[in-house]
Amino acid sequence: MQRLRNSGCQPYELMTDERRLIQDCLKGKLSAQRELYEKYAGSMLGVCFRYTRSLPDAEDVLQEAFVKVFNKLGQFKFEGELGGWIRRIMVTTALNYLKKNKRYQTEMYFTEEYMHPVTNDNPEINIEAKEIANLIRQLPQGYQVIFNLHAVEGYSHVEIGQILGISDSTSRSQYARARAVLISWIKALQEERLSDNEKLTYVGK
Amino acid sequence: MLANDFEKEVEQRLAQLQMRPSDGVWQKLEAGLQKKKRRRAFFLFFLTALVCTGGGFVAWQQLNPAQPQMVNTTGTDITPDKNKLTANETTTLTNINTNTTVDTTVNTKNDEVVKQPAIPAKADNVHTITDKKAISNVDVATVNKKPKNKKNIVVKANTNKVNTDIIDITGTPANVNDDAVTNNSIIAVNENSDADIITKRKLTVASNLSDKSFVNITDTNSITDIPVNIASIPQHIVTQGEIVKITKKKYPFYWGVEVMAGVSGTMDKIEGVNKSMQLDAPTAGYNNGLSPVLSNSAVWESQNTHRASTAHSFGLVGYKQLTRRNAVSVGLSYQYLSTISKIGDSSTTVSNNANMRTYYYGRELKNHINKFHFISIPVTHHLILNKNENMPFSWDLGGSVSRLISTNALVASSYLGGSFHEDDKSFTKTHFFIHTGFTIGFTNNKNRVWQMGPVLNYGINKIGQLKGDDKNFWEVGIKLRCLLQ
Repeated sequence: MQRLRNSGCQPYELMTDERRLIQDCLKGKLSAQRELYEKYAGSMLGVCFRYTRSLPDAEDVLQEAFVKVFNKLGQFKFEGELGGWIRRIMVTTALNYLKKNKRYQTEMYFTEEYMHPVTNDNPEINIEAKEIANLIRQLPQGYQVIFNLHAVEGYSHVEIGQILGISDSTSRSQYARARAVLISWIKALQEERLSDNEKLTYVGK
Repeated sequence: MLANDFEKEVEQRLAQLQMRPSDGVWQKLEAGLQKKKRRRAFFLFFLTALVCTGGGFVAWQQLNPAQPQMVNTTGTDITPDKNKLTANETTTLTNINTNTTVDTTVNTKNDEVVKQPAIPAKADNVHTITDKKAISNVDVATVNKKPKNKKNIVVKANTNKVNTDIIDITGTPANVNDDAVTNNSIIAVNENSDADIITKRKLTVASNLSDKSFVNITDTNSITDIPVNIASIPQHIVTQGEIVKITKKKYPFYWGVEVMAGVSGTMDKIEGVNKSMQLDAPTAGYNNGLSPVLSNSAVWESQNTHRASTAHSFGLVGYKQLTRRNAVSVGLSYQYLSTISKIGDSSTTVSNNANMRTYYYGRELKNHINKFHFISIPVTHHLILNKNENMPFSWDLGGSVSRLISTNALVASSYLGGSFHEDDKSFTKTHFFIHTGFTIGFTNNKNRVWQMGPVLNYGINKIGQLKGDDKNFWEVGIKLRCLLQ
């Protein structure tokens, strides 16, 4: 399965530029490191944002992950997109952050306790990316992690089970419920917005 | 929409999500990167210092080889006519005090004749031999470096049945009986097989003894050289008819004081690169308990804003050499570690949480020294790398258990917008450290030993039960010991 589908970043047009940037970073040039950071920080903060509850926490993850990026940049083999490689580190760091942080640990709950109806509905989405991200972040932590890993990052349920130490069937059922909850929230938000627009139209008339 | 269209739609939308991080993220990242550079430079310096220290020591050893010394247990000045002696030539020397003569074999090295004393032929003769003094009953030998492939050898010498002088040279008991000990015989025993007598020899032996030297004992029958470790020669001779009960060389116990001064700081936990990249599975047993309390959200502020600061320790130490190459030491000491944080002004109005005594706003305003006071019990193994008993050079490796007795260290709370507060309950009380380093000893007085050298100390466990708490203490410095017997 395609993993970490895309970085959400514009790749360098010239591979040589990317190599040069990486080589300069490996030499410890601060300007190159700043350039790399500026290039990817915006999109990567979006990744971190989806896994955490607050923007400061997302920034903590971003900073910690970029430290790892610079420490391990020499291991990048140019076999894929640099953005994808960085994004994988972001996800790894975010999950470790959730694991280490007791505040998040209390919310990481992977049993069948949360019962939500499962749906195969595929509604059209007419809301902004940040609104979707905010809705994802409002999911229970276990749902949030599994939804992010499967729907956005592209991990299979078997892989998610290995990562989180749960069975793949648990991952599958949690994902189905997370999906159902998210769809219901999206629908509700869209309907609410639609009715607001109708009211505005009526008032306008 | 088709199945999975929802996922694709979500993924495509989220791929467009761009958020601008605050400037503080890069500032902290930059500080961390620069600190990493400094840390790398420091370790490079430390490594270079170690290499230079070791290299200098070896060079010093090479430039100051032990000089052969005249040995004369009787105080008699017996000097063979150098001009008349050639290698392996036997001649007769006369002890002018006792008017006795012995046969002497002379070896030469670099045309230098090494002289040996004659034997006083006196019943029940008892000699006392001290370090760097000769065995009696010896003739002449050359002093060479120890052959690398030779084991140390225990040698017993008996040159006269009547005037028996049995010389206990080192180590392990030997199966020697009176009958076996004949006039002018030497019995050599392999050190590694306690009772195996290798050979009995007609004497012509001996030695010009000094530390770092090995003696070729020349067998007049077979002209076989036996290397003897001079450094392990004990200091007594027994009288006639008494078979020496050879015992292991006893090393004295030393005790004394130890001080150390250096710097300390915090660092990420040392782990394998691959391991650090893995996604560790969350541990089982999550619960959805109460809302998080403030202490759970407290963070040991990113190491990026923690700078190294001074460290020292002092205490008592016991030192015991077990074998020629191994020694252990145990101590009880007070240990002080510290780091420096950038914090803001103090405030009393941030929170009314009784667990938090003092609060500080923001950062980058002034330095706060986080002080950690420990009581520590270090245990160290010393692997002695050279043979110079007067200046042993050892590689040290050990561990210690330390109890945090107090600290004024601050933790930061993301809930409070980056404010700091004291919360010593957040810190791990019992720490385990591992340490390594090198030690050079100086012994100019038998009862007193000075030891000094660099030491690197690393805390195995985390500093506290905090978010981002995979920080560990490190400490480097120079230690100095004064030991008394």
